[in-house]
Amino acid sequence: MAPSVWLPLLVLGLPFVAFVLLAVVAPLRRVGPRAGLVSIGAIALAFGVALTVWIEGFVSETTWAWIPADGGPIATVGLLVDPLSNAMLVLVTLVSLLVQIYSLAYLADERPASLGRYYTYQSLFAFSMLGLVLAPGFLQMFVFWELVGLCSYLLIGYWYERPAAARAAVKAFWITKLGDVGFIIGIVLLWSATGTFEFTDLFEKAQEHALAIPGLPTIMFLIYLGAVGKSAQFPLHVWLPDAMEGPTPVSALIHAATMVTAGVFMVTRTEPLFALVPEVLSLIAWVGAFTALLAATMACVEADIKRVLAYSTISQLGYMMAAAGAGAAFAGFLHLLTHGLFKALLFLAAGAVIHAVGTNDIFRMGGLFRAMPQTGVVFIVGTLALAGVPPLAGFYSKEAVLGGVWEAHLTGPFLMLALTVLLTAFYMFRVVFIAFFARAHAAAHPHEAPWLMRGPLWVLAALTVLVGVRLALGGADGHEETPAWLAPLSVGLALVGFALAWAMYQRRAIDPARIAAALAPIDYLARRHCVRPAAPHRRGPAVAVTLPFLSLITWSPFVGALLIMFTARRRPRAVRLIATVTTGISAALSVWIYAAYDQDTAGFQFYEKFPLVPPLGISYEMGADGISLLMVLLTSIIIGAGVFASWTVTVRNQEFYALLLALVTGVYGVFVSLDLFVLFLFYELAVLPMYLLIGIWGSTGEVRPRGIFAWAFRETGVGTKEYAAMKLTLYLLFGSAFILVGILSLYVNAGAASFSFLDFEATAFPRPLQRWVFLAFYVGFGILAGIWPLHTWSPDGHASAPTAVSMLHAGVLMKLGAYGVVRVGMGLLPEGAADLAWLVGTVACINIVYGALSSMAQTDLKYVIAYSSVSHMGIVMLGAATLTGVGLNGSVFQMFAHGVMTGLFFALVGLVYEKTHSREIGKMGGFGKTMPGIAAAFTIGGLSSLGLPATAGFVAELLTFLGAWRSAHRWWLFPAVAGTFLTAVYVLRVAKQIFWGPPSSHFHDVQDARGPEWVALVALVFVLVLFGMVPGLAIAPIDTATVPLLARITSP
Amino acid sequence: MSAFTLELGLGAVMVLVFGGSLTSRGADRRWIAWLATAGILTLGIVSALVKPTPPALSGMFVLDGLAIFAKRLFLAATFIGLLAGIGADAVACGRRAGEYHLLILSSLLGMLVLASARDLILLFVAFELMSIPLYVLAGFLKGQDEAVEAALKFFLVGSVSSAVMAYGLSFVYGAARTTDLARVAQAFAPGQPLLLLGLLAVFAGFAFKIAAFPFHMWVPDTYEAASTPFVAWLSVAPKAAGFVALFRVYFEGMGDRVATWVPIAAGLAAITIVAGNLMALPQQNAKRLLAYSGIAHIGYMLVGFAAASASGTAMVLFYLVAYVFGNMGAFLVVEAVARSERSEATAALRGLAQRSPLLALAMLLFLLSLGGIPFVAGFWAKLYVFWAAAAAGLYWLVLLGAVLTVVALFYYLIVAKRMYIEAPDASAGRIRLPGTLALAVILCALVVVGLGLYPKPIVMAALRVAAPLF
Amino acid sequence: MIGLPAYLILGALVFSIGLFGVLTRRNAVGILLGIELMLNAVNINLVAFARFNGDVAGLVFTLFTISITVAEVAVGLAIVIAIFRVRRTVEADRLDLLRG
Repeated sequence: MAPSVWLPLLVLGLPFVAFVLLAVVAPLRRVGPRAGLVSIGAIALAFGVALTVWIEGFVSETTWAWIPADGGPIATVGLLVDPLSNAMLVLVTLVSLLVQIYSLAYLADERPASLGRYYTYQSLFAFSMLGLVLAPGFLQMFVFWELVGLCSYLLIGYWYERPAAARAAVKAFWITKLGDVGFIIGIVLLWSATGTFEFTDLFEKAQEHALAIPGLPTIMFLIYLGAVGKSAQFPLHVWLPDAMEGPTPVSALIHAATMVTAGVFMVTRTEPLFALVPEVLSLIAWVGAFTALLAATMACVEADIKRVLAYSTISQLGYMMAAAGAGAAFAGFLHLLTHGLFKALLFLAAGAVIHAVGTNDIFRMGGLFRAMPQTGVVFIVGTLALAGVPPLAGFYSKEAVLGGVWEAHLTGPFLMLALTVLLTAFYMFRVVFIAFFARAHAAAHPHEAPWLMRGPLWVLAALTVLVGVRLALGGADGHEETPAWLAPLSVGLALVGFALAWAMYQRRAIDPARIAAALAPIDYLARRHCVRPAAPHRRGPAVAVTLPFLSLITWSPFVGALLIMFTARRRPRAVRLIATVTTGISAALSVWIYAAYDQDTAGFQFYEKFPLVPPLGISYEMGADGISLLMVLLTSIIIGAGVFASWTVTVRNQEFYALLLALVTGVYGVFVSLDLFVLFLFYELAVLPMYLLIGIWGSTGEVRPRGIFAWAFRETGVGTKEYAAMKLTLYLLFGSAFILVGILSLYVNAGAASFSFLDFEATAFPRPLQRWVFLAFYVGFGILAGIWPLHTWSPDGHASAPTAVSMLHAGVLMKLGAYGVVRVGMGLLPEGAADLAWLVGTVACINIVYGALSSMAQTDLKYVIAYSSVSHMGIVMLGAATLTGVGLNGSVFQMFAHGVMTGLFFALVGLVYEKTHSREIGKMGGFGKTMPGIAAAFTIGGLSSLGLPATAGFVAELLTFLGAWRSAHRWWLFPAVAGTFLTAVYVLRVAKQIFWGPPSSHFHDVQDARGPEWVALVALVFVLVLFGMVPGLAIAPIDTATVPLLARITSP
Repeated sequence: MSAFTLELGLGAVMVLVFGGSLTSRGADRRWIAWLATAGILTLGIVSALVKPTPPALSGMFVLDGLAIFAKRLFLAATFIGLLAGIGADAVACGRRAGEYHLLILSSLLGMLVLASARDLILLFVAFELMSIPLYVLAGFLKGQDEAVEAALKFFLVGSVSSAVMAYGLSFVYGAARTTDLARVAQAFAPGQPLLLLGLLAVFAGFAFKIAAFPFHMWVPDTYEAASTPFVAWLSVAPKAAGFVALFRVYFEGMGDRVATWVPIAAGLAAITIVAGNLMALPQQNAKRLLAYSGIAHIGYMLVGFAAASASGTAMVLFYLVAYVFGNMGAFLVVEAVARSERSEATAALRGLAQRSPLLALAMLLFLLSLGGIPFVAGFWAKLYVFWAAAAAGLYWLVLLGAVLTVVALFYYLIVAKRMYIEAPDASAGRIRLPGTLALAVILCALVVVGLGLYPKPIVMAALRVAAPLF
Repeated sequence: MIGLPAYLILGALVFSIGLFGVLTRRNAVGILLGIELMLNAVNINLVAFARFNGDVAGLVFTLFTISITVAEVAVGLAIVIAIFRVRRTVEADRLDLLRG
């Protein structure tokens, strides 16, 4: 590999290695400062390499296939190295390095373990941002884009015990995610129009004028929305000030080099595309300028030093976006780089101040210049740079921006930006005068920060000056000269601002309060309606195949059930042993068949058949194709985890395990049966034990009977878990009635005396028959898949069921429904499926949105998860309804992904319930402290469920979205994407409420997971991440099954 | 062997029982019950050896496959009913054991003849021979007000339906100018309003006997008031006989004209299924619950009848077998619990799984079989009749039936819930039941499970005997 | 000469009167009488058909019907007497121990 590839790769890899090291090696993480050294070492090395890359000026592009598909990969991963990314590499690594060094001192009071966590996040943050910078295509950029969002969420919420921090973290995530909704829709649309995510391809097409897509402006606008969220443009800027709840170095990092610059970088990177849509560009410019002005006015009245800087960042981001919008992306990018330097400087200096005085409130500071002169000097350097005083770095870049905007004849934005120059100087010097020169208020005795903190400050100050000088000498580097009057104008405006500040705050000649009130109505509105004022700023304490494989897989648990029933009476240990061994056999074999499946041959493999009732054509026929393979694997994973998760069942545990294992046999059987009749038998076997499992071992008293069944239950005087059990069983059997009718009518109409799937497949049924039989299958299997409005059994049932049953049911059995619709419905009745796809997809959209909304309204933890299953199953059904290869793959992948994450969720809920005996979300809180492992696993599951990249959920949702847009009903995309946003809302709300914040007074002695319980959690999390990172593992076999399926549907 | 072997054998058993009851002295006449049971068992074994013979009595009396199939079923049901009665039924084994058993045996004789009757007169006589003893038996527990009252209701409704049936038969005879059913079928043609009217009236009589809606009113009251072992038998044997006679009258020799009956039978099936299942929902008394659920089962069998095909007929026969054992078994478990708890409410079953696990398991099997769940006989039964109906194009009926099985499962599962999920009363101990009753329950359970796992022989036999009808 | 339809109409009338009695009578004995009428309508039909068809089978049928009717009514009256002994009434409306 050429150095132009592996050196950037090294830059990217080093922080990742540090992250993995810290994340996996718990002892290392717990030692704190030394963990910091690992991270710092890695980033320092990375900085060195990045510097080399920059100086050498490497240019290259390398890609590898990521999401495979027929006819070339859908998406690739790789590196795009060019001057733009090189400069960003240097900036990111530099600021990260300095911030990390600085943090070592700043967070010295933290508990070691929690410091280790901090550096783990830091490394991940650096890695994500570098990945974003090096991304060669939209998709990879989006992946890292989301990762960056995740890291900011983690770091802003670093002091998760503080409610304000928890809230701010969630808010940051939600609001940026809102922008990301646009982003993902935009790139999906772009992809479906051009067939590529790659920048290079897109740019080439743009150059050849081959990008004349109708709706390109809309697409670019949607993509721009992503930047609006990330780069805190109006009106999505509201998260940024609140994000100041995180530790100050984190703010520095976010503001200077990582999170917020991502948006600007993205617009800069894709400038050739934006250049095609002038109307969007001018919108960007206008919004940018307005944002700059608005944020500046807000900064003028802010008393929190960090929030002043935060508004200033928003304001400066407005400059950058305005420049990009004016077609002067280079100027914007330059401003990004210089701003990165001096904003980092300002934040770190502010951090030093806060560290010294213990408050963020500038009015409680004063006279600091005398106490900490070095900090004072660097802060003033930063202030001058920000205000745009020559010869500091900020002056030149800001001038370039102004010049660019003027040249683009955007007079309005230009005026706003010019006014902002004045305001910038004003609010920055306001801070300087109040904090550093006014009479001292501080009760504590401020002192200069330790060297570890001052060092980075001086480095940054020196760089600010040096870069400024370099720019002064080198001029605008071959770019257009700005009008001659511009420099005096901007310097003059800055001076006016300075004078105003001096008059108001040093001389006290003007009363600031009145002006403030006049200038900030919008802020008032925004805060009133969007932002709850943060709690008083007070730092809390820091805490922390030759065998019949398919038959073996299917029947092994059943044998286990029999053994348990007849040999293990009253010997719980033997019961568990048998359960573990028999499910273990199934699990091992399913991994084996997964590995042994021949993808080149495709079709049904591991085929077994022998006749059962020959005259009627019933035979025991089994076979697995790509879809069943994955479903079998899923079942094995979930039941394995389920056995461990129910380790603590003690009441009548013999019967419990026997029923559970019998049920599992039914599930396996459905997935591998090729004889529809036998499939139906297995289906019943999978459904019926549920009644007793829920009825006997369920948790009672939490489900209120509703609806038509409530009447019957009053009559018979039944308690509520029985109600849930009964409702579930009856709904599912109701479904099975439809399935039976469907199967019988196929049998009768096929004429051949056989129930074999393969024989039916070879039969062409008349279209009207197909239509209504498909409907029967859709309703029948769909009930199990939780289609709206027949989903109501699912929340009640899941909420009442014991842990393992919930896991198995939501994780696997609901998939069984979707599997039935895809395999039997679509596989056998292609024309019927094509005719009714509109119905399936529309109902799926309702499911997605309705499930998510219902989830938001729940107060019972299990109900939240149960409704989220309803929502996610909507995605599965939507993917299937798209009748596109991508969508079907996404559907099957989502079955798998959702199975694993729901299993994880229910396991976690079970653990939480077992330890607290409550599922009332409102009563919980602060479990992150007492059960960090569970909290971490829950967060990962949650992130997967909201489709965060690098988890299995993302790939599934992405594929489904792509499919939805390619389908005949494009609008499906919008509810689907809206659903993922709503998911983010409720998942994070729940996580915040339960795990973060101060410990709840309701619970004491809550302990983290122990022993076998860990097995379940770790295994599920591992699978979730593995399949997210390497989706090809699942997609390759799925593809072998969906391609022929689709061929049947779409062929005339 | 003559065509009348079984009937003659049964006559001999009746003579023995009668003689025994005359000579017997003392209150305990259990040996008479043993005698009758042993006699039926012997007849049952003999019936296994019976082969079809040519029609006797100038074609009035046939002993074809269908008749033999039906007779074996009647004998099996009667055997289990009598077996369960020994030791379980105080009246049946006390002073009046002779009368009780004679009445049952004469009703059985009516059934045996009915299964073979291919002549209107013989049919009517056999029908009444079967019915009249039942009226008496329903009121046999003379001490109880309810029993006599139920007997009166049963009698009144039954007699009216007999009258309606006889009236219909008179038209059939008049229009066809013959009493031979084979020739009646040949005379049947669209242009024969009198004949059609007659057959419809006869149908109403049959509907009463098999308790289809709306001729079902006698069922719950009679079941609730009469003694349980008798009810177990009453709930299955006469209905089976009614169905066999239905096939004889309406299918045999009809050829393509069987299609005439499809809409009537399908409509009757649909309302019977719906009404039976819905009325069963609020029942608190286990016997009434089973009574209404039995009505629904008749509806399912009518689905097979509505298919009006050889396979449909065969599937009804299979259904009858599954129903006989599943339903009798369920009644007998109720009897076992009622003897211990003095209550026939479903609430008496509470916690049965922990008191008597095997009894509960047996009941669960019966309920699942009645509910049509795989791996027990009832599943195949339902499946087969649906199948036959689907083959006949009655998809709507199949869907309706399938959906209403879910309603049925609701009330069966309520019973299952009482047994398995609820805890028993603290004072409740194990349930002790007489050996003969236990044996009867075990036999039913074995058949239900056996047919669930391996239905093939009975299905094949049913298909074989049903084929010649068409 | 009186034709077959006349007999059939007579039979139908008798049958209807019997059915009417069954449906409207409160007294169990009254209902029994109604049933008796219905069965006699059957006999009228059978005899008429036998006569006009020139076939003895109908007459045989009639004999059987009559004897069966006797048996039936005997059983019915026995039940009525049994009930009268216990309840001192034979009014169908009062027989309401079994409901539902």
